[in-house]
Amino acid sequence: MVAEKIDFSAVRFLIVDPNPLSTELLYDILRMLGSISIRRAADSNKAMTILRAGGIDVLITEWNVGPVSGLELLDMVRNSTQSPDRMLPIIMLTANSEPEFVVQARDHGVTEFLAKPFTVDAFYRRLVSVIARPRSFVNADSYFGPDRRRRQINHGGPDRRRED
Amino acid sequence: MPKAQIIPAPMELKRRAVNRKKGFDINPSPTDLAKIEAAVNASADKFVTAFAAILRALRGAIELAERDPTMRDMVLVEVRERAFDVKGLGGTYKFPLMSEIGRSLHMLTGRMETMNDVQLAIVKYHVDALYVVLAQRIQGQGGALEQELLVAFRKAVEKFG
Repeated sequence: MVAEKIDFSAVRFLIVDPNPLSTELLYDILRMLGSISIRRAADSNKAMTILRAGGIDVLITEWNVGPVSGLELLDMVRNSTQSPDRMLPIIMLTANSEPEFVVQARDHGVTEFLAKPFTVDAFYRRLVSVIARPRSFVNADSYFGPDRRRRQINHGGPDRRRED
Repeated sequence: MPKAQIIPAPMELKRRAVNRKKGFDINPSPTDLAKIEAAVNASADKFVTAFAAILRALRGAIELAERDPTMRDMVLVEVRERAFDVKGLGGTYKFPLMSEIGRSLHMLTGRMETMNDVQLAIVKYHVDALYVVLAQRIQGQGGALEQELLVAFRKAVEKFG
């Protein structure tokens, strides 16, 4: 059976990071993968302008951006009435790598979190996850975002509870 | 009890991008990963050049802070931002030791509002250590000496950060 592939030329990215070296690295990796539509923003205001104009499929953002942080940008996309797409896949790619940041990002509705420094393998897996394995969304009083419960994996054995 | 609405996963992007003919395998082979890794390696020289410039600028800023204590707040902001960059990028370019020193420097400066003489000296030691790692191209975690240095930095951060 032929393996599933991702045609990155069909995916439009926005990278938000104030560090030009970091932005350039992500740009180079995405180009290597075949992406042809990659927008870049060094600050969150420009990012929102690009997002509002439409045509972005995946947002990759650093936490440490200004004038509003990557977390606030995430919050605006998920919860603002002005949001262009509340279900936009968002990867938080940040040097704020400590566990409390992971929890905060998850609770604000991030799709995937990846700590810097990162490996290309880990980055690729996050891309696969947001593009090829989309998750259901939860709309509750205090949360709007991807279902925080990870999908159930078929364990390969009999479903004994169902038989019960 | 509050109710949560479950919205089915959006499938439009998957329908558009996932196929069996064109692109990168969802489970990439080592060869595929090596191709992606090549993009990182291709920009490694730019990283070394850019960080050498950043470290030179930091040394200049620290000298300024030593001469003129009124400049320390400004220098502190600069050091904190650059430490965050080093922490985030070093390891990706196979300089994990640089990321660890950057992490230590970011922790040290993250809680400070200004710098006294001792704190400024510790900042300077961090920048000097980063210089050595970069100048000697110490990739990987370094040896026993480098690990001892990290332990010493950790203790200094706990005490003076």
